[in-house]
Amino acid sequence: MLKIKTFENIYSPEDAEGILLNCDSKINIAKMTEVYYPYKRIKYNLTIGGRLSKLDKEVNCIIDLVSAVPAVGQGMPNFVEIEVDESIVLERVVTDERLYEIGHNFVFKLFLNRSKILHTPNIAIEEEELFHKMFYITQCLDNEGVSYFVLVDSIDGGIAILDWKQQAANAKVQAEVQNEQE
Amino acid sequence: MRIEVVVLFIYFIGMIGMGLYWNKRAKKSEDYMLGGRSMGPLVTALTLQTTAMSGFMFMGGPAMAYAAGWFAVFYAVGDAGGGLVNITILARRMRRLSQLLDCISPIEYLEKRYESLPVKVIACVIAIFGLSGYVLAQFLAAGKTLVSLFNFPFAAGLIIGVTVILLYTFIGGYFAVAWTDVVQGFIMIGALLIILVLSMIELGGLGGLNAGLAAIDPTYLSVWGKGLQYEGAYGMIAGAILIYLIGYMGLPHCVNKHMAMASPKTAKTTVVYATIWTQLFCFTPYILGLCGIILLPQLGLPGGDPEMVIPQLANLMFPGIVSAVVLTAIMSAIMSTVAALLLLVGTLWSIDLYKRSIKKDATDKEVVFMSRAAIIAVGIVGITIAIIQPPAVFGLVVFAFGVMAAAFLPSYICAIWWKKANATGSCASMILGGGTAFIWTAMDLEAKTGQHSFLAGVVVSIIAMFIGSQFGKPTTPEMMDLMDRAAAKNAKVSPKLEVAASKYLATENKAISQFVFSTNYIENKGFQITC
Repeated sequence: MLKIKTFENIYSPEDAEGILLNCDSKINIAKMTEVYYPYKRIKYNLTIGGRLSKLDKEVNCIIDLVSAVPAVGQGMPNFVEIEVDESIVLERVVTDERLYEIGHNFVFKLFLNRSKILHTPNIAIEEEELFHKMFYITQCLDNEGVSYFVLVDSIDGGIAILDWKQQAANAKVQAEVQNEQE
Repeated sequence: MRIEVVVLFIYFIGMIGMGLYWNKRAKKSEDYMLGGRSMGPLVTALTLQTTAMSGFMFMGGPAMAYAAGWFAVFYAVGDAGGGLVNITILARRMRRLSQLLDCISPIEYLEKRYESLPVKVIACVIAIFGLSGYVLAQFLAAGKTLVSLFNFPFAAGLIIGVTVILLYTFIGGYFAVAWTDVVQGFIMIGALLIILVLSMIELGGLGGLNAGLAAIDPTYLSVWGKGLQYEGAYGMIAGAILIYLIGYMGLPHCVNKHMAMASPKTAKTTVVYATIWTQLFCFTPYILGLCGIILLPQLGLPGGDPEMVIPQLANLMFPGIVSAVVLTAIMSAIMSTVAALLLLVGTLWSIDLYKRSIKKDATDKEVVFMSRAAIIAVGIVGITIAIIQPPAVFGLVVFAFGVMAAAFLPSYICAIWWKKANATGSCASMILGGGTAFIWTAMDLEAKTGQHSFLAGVVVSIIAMFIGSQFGKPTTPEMMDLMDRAAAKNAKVSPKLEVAASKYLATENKAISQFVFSTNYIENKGFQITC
């Protein structure tokens, strides 16, 4: 078992099912499980000082620790510590050195692109924490009974169809297994 | 003090006050610097179109119509359908591929799709050159607006205008909120439509306009242009229509919108509003240019400037204060547009070229310095060119638009529609296509050949892409897979779910797919697979 920090308030499996049915009431949901995905939240303090000190800001940068992709975090979530089976937790790939480089460059570029003010901000890390977000893996069946998998974000209810290439390969294996059994 | 000066000050104080008010209000709910603007589709469409068209539509379009008559409307015809063509051909696949490639800027997109650093460097150089041409056109428009407002000499108006624009670019964002853009947009569109209606009433409608034009010179009504200058020049007509009909697909700052689509639902509605609005708006400046031929004949005389048709019509149709408000709104919109373009030029140079290709360990201060230096350099070069030999706004925009569109069009289209397109093809296409459009204009080959510079450039660009892609490193199988996925082949999932899929989960999707299908997850979790 692995102890991880995750969001306190999340969509339940029933909520996730409702989200999918709300998108398409005719889909056939067969099963739902979950995985945990690692992120790092780094709170940056951007200061400009002087007369432009109103532009001093705190920015929550959320960095995906598997794909090394940064994003802006909205709000300050409540976390809880839980224990989960290691087999449902994705492994962290990004090193600390790379992580800080990505975060700094991301916040700096965002500032340059969107502030419309050409000043060099001082960028300092105020706090950081590692957390995991839960995603539901939902198995759906099409009209011919072929499986496909849909990802549901347990925080904002966003959905994504899992990689079709992987699914196609998987379906091919499924077909071969079934043929062998028959 | 002149009434125009008072109006200018009151207007700017009002805009700054609005900016301060909304910034204060937005403090808790929206991060001023990093937060997105969550405007609805109507407002988004409005601001997109007004900022994209400001200087060109207010100065260039009417001047072209004033000079060529109804022939100029060919440009508006292309423009009217350009957005729709652009979205239909590129939007869906480009949004998907950019999502799969995990890139946020249009130049980064080309670099990743063609898996080549030279592609990025060449694209950056062409984009900086083209955008600088756009910026110069806006400088000229700003200078002329100040001339109209205060009767400054042109050089003084230009220097003051550009200085104000540079100041705005460096610190103006502090006061800029979406609502200031919206108010300016409404003033501009409202004023333009009212000027059109009043001019039409004055001239007795379209019939009266045509009768008036025919009385001056019947060839104003000809599809071949005044004096039948384009008679038989089908290449010029094709170029005039195509440049805006398909050219938008080659402009980095326009295709960027496809990549930035957050909600398919909002994007669809925005397209509808933008298309309706374009039909209403894009013909107006040209028709006003035609009205100017009759109402402002002095602009066609030596020493007259047909680019002043709209400011002059505003003076003619409105009382002094309203006219000053309209011209100030135009000036503000130009400032807002040019600030965004200048910042884009600064970012392309400082981050995409300097930090990534020239000095990878550059500090933040160096990057900001390079960005400022690039912006000031564009300002100085712009003022110098404009004072020594000021080009016409219309010609300059068509030139910059044509060079960028000819250079990038095949690269953006083939990126999603032709798997064999590779880095060699893209580089050849950008250099030869952009170069042809440039040389065609510089050597005035349009007059000699009867072929539009954009048409010549885009034909060469397409041929170069086709021939170049036969050589060099072929597209990798991984990239072909991504292109297949962007085309959504083999997808058997619910179409409604596909539409609802979030682009923000692209990277998680990739990693989780690998985790779920490459480990024992499916087996361990006891999924019953049926085929």
